[in-house]
Amino acid sequence: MVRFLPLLALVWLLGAVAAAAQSDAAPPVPATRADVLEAQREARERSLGTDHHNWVERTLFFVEEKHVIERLNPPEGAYPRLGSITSGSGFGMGAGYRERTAGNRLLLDASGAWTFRDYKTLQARVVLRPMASRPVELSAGSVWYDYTQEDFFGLGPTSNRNDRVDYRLEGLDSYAQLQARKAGWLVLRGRIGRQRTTVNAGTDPRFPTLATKFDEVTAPGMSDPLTLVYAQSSVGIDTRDQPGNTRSGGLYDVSAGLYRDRRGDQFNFTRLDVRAMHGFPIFDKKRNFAVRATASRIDPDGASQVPFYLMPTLGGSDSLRSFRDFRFRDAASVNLNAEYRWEAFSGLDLALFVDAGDVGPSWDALAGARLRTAWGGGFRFNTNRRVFLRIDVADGREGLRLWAKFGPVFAR
Amino acid sequence: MTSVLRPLAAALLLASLSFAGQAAVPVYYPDDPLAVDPETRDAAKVRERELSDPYDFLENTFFKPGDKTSARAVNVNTIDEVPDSSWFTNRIGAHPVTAAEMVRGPNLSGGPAPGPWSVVSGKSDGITPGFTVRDTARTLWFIKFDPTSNPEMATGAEMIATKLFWALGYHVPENYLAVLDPATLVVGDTATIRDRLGKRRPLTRADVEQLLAKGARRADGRFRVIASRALPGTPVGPFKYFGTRADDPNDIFPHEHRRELRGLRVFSAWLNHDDSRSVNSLDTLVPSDGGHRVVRHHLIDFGSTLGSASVAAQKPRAGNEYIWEARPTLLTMLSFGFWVRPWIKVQYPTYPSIGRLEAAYFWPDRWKPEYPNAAFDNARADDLFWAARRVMAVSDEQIRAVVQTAEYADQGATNYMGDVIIARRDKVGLEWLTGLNPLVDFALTPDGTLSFANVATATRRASAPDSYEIVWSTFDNATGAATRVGDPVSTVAPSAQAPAAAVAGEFVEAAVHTRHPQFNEWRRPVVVHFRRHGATWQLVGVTRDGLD
Repeated sequence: MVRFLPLLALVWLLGAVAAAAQSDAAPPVPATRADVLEAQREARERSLGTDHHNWVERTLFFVEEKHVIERLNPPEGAYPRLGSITSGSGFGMGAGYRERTAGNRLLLDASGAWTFRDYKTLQARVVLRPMASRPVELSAGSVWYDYTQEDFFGLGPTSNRNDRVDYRLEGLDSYAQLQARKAGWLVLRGRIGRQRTTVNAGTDPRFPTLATKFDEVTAPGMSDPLTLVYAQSSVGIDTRDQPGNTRSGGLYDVSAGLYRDRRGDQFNFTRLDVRAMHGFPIFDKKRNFAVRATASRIDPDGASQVPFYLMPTLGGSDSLRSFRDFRFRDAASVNLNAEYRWEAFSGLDLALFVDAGDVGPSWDALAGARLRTAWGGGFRFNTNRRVFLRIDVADGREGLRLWAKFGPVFAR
Repeated sequence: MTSVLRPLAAALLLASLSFAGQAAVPVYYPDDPLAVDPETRDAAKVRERELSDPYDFLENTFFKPGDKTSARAVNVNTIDEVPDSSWFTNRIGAHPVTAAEMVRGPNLSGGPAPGPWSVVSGKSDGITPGFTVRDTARTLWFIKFDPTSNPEMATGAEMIATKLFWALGYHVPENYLAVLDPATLVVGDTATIRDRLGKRRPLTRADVEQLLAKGARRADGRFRVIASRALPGTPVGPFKYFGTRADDPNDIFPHEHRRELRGLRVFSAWLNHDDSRSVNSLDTLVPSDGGHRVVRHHLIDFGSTLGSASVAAQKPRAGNEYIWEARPTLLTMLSFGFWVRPWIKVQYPTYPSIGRLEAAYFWPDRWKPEYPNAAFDNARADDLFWAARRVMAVSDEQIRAVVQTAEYADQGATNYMGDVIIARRDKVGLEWLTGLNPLVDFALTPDGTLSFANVATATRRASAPDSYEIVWSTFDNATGAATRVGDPVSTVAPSAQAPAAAVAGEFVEAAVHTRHPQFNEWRRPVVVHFRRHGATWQLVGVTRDGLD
């Protein structure tokens, strides 16, 4: 071993020189903790950049900065109209313009919309709140509409779904209305108007037109244009906590209307609608029962008739949910609904529901009758104040039906 | 290997080891433990940035951002404490803070100057009304109101939380309780307001009246408000609770691994600061003592703390469940609502000025902010312990003095608020002071007597332990190797004499285990290192073993 000592010493020396050379090239060894941090910050300074937002964040920024949500329903100026025009119209779009003047007491509003099923509407209205401190509202306006693919299955509870036909309803409704609230819960409303309607062949190629299966006897009012003048009044009690997402409180109202045929006595009638809706919270508002009962009747004067398209209807997303829109029509209707809702989390309620109802020539005819039923479940995507998307699946004698609506149930 | 190559290899290894040894990093540097984080780089190039509030919710709720590694906080010094920095200033728990100092809190300027306020701008978006005003000294103030449903609630919560978060060490704005007389409010010539669509237009007296209508008006027609002084420096946007700010050269520690942000979970639980998220933070660019500019990080807007949700009383969910959480959502969905979230049944006393706050159902470990927070999620037992020590350092007297600054008209509300904060504090201590070996305040006298304190016992969160067991070692700072000296020493008192051989060198190590019939976790030692400093010993290292 001794004979290798000079060689070992040489190798050690070489190693030492190499290591020293290496250490010259390396950054100085920090002497303090502050030096360590300083070195880290120095290195970071050499690679500074800017924080970048991904496309989701950029989109959300855009929505926030441009006030996109608010622009969908601005208090003044131009605004878009999105969604359906009426039940069964399909999704549509349009635009409007409103102006507030006289210290915010006068509203001028005009809009138009079109749907993918070619439904169209134009409307203009003036709303006056004469006393800023009192909830009294005077309004007047006109609505022109062209509903191109309305469904009709025949009158009466025994109408056959295979008799489905298609018609087009065009009309112009001009009105003046006075509405007042008292003590926050009592709602009074009076309205007078003139309504001109014309029934034509529908445009849905999947179904026959009205005239192929029905006539003036089975579908009164289908032949000639009709002009009605009317007067309506209603009184209601509204104690709902949030009209757009009711979890407690109720809405009770009675509305009566008198309709007169401008050309003669063929279509003179009265109409009565009764509605009672209430939300019952169970311990808290995370679960609640909502029940609603509605009843409508139309009574022709003497030998007069009632145009079929103004008769009470049942079926659709807000009444008998396993049946199509307007599935049943007659001079009287009764509809009972019950929903149990429970909150899954703050943005979503789930619901189980049962609907029952029927139509008939009169309320007497419906008394004791076995009502048609529907049942199902649904999702209510909501904020505290309103349901902005409702999805319901309902089942019944005519099969499953899926509804997606941008609003709460029992709103009408 | 031949007989020639073997000695050659040995020589090469020896050479590399000996030189490597010269470059080795010591365990403790001469300036350890750091009391101040030296943020030496100039941050003048930092630019204002905005964060999307909805995106912050989505990102934190569904994408779990930040590094989730369970590791010791990276910005603590060698004795497991947080150095003062642009994020944090050690106050209570580190230094004595009097009740008078806590009552004063960050408020150094004395509040708005007497005389009329000139409105600079109004805040019309959202449901919380607000103004920006200049007082007669030209100082800018943000004016915040109480909701009409809960007079004194938001302003009271803001006063209390501001002072307590200041005492705990955070940078917060100067917030004063003030009275706004609408008659003395002057609409400035250049005052503007943004309408609902974000368009700026001149502010009118009618706008002022409309905004005032949303606030709680006192019987005399005036308004109790918070006057929040504009923070010093140039605002550059909020901070995130994860990652670092890409344009700040001093921001080297990922936020989710910062001790004071992890520990904020404890303080937020205590004070029900469920809105502890980016939107309620603000960075400002300020001059530093070194003449360069640094980014200072603030917590702002404490209107949604304690029982207040700013515009209404806290929801029962606040502090109990995230806005969206899969498990309770599924349970509720599948049980048709018959599984009821337990917090729904909690009863709250009816103090409109307090809102919804209680201490009976509250349990610190269950508490949650509005949505997940990356720093809170990373908090380990040592982070929680660090923060809980500070919470427990706030005395009953100090709490009641701070609550008095809310100036509730109802003495019952004042008493209740004090009682609840004290009760919640005690629960914080019980939960997080006992989760690990709770030994603190280590000292070694020149004659080699080690002393320490058991903070869980001292704060009456736990009974006295059976005994402490101390293992003494010498410590090699260059290599980090500890060489055991003698047998473990058992003691009932929190002190022990070191063996002479242990304190003969430059460094000494003591590993202290605690034996308690109730807390097995306490057996894991706290390992402390002392460095000889002239005739005395300086504490340079504290490690809570078993966590790393």
